[in-house]
Parts: sequence; structure tokens; C-alpha cells
Amino acid sequence: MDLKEKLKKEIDRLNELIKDCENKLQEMQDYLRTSQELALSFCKKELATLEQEYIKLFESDLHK
Amino acid sequence: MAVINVTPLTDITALIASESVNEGDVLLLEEGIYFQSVIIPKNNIRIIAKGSKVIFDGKSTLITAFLLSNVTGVLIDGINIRYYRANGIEIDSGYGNRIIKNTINNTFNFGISILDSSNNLLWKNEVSKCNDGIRLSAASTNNWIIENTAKECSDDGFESISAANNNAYISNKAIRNRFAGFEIVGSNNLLFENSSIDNVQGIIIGSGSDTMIIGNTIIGSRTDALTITGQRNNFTAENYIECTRQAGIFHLGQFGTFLSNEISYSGNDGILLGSSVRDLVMDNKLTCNLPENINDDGRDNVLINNIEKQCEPCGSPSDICGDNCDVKENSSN
Repeated sequence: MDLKEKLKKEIDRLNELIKDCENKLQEMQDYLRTSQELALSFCKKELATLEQEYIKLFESDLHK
Repeated sequence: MAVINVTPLTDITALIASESVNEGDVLLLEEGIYFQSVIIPKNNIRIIAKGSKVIFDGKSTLITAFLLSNVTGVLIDGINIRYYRANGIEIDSGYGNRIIKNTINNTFNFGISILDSSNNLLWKNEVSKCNDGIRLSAASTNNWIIENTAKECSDDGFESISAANNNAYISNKAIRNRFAGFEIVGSNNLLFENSSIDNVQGIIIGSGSDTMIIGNTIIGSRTDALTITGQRNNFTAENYIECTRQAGIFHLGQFGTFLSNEISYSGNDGILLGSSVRDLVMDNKLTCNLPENINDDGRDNVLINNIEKQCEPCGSPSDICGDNCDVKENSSN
């Protein structure tokens, strides 16, 4: 599997994970919510990093 | 400096945020089951398990057990972490933190995630049944990953992506992960004396240059043992590779050096120089790799003083390694 393909798969997986966590957040008691929202924001940062990496690779392929 | 006793009933995030906890303080965790996520926004806080049964259980509800954001000098020692929806321990924009002797299993994302962070030590952690065991990403540099074990993860044991440069992976073990034992992207990384046992791929060195792969053991890979697709000047020496279903070493870069490696019983060439250019392949010992010990499909490569042995009667890779390539199964436990 090449890096681009792997990143795409990883982005899809993380998107799914974030959606799933967001759903769980709705069911959570208030005292837990603040820490979980912060934890989720870290996952979103990870996702943004992967997406940037994917775009970089995609653009460098276009210039080849 | 104070030692503060903590029980499962303590809200550790609130405690750290309060004025009761100062830099250098030790939070000593009593044994028991903790249902919480701990956010550490202060430098030099030491969180230490008092016994072997300090368990953080996210009950598949909580997202991450420990979050270190923009901090330095934090120690997390001896905690058992299980069933979190994302990560066991996450360091984001951190520097010089120490994560040691923790046991992490069944997290949906990573056991330990290092994001945009430098100079951290991950030592003697055991991670199992996660997506990746230990993951470095987003320009994480100069981290030390030493004597950790990553087992039975659904993707890689150890992975780095997106310009994770200058990191050292030393004496780690990756066992029975569903993709690679080590998948390392970036430049000038060191992989020294690690073991990759029964992973689908042994070690993959992706894009990047100047990485050193020295003294590693790779046994029973389902595909290639050591794949180097990185660009140039990667250095591969004194690795021991046995019973790989495909190539022992598969190289696609330029100016690679392959020195004194021992490769035996590979199912699809011992050393396969694919599109590689101007490699030096010297003093390697190759035994019974089929169809060839060294297959040079590249350009201008130099082969010097390699010792090649053919298979003995009844000594082919499938005879020696068996179908499951589990000749050294006991060594992985």
C-alpha cells in the first residue's frame, strides 16, 4: 500500500472514530464532558495533520 | 515539593489545576479502578502508580486516559490503561516528558500518541490490541522510544508519519501486528536492535533519507521483512532476517548501504534491489533465499564480498520455516 492510499484509509478511519466519539459525548454526564471535548479536539488535530499530509502528497503527484 | 496521595475518587484533572499542586509534586495513585481522563496542563508533574493495580478503565466511553498538552517534564509511571475510545496517552506540543512502564490495551486508536512533540522518552511501555501501538506524527522530532513492546495491534506496532525526523527506536519489540512491526517515515531516524516477530511486514522505511537500521531482528514476516522505499542514503547493517515469505530486504531508493546483514530462508529473494540506484551491498551472509540470494534489478549497484549459500537438500524456506513461518514462535513470547 503506498503512502497516499494509507493516509486516505487513516483519514477515513479517524473521521469515523471522531463521529463515533461525538455521538458518545451527547450521552455523557456534564462533569465528564469538558475533558472529553478536549480529548476529542486532539483527535481532530491529528485528523487535520493527516489531511494536510494527504493534500501535500496529492499536489506533489499532480506536479510530477 | 509534595507527595499527594490520590484515590479513584479524586478528580485528578481538577486537583492538578488547583493551587494544591505545584511543579515538581508527585501524585501517588492508590490501587483501584479510575474512570476519568486526566488533563495535565502544568509542567513537571509526576504521576506514579503506588502498586501494580492502578487501572484507568475508559469503559469504551471515555476518549483518552492522559492528555499532556503543551507541557514539559511530566512523568507517567506504572499505570494500566484500558478500553478508551481513542488513545491511552497523548502528548500534544510537549517537550521532555517521560512515559514509562505503563501497560495499555484495547484502545480504538493508539496506545501512545506523540503529536508535534520533541525530546520525549517512551520507555518500557507495553501496548496491545490497539490500532497502532505507538504513533509519532506531525513533525515530532528527537524522541526516544526504548524497550517498548507493541503486540497484536490492528495496524502497526510502531508508526511515524509526516516529517517525524531524528527519532530513535531502540530495543523495542513488535509482535504479531496486522500490518508492519515498524513503519517509519521521515529522515535521520535510528532503528537499533529492535525485534519484529510475526508481523505482516517487518520494517518499512517510507519516504525520507539518512535513516539507520542497525542490528534489528526480523523473523516470520508474512510479506517483505525490510522494505526501504525512502529516497537516499539509508544505512542498513548487521540485521538478522529469517523466514520471510517474500524478500528479506527490498530496496527502491538511491545510494543505500547494505552491510553485514544475515538473511536466510526468504521466499522471494534475500536482497531484492528493485529500482534502486548506486547501492553498496557488501559482506552480507545469505543462506537459501529463493529464487535468488541477491536479485539486482536496479542500476549501477556495487556488490562486494557477499557470502551466498544455496539450500541444502530438504532445507528450502518452506521446509525450514513451515507454512506459518513460525520457526521461532517461542522467541516471541
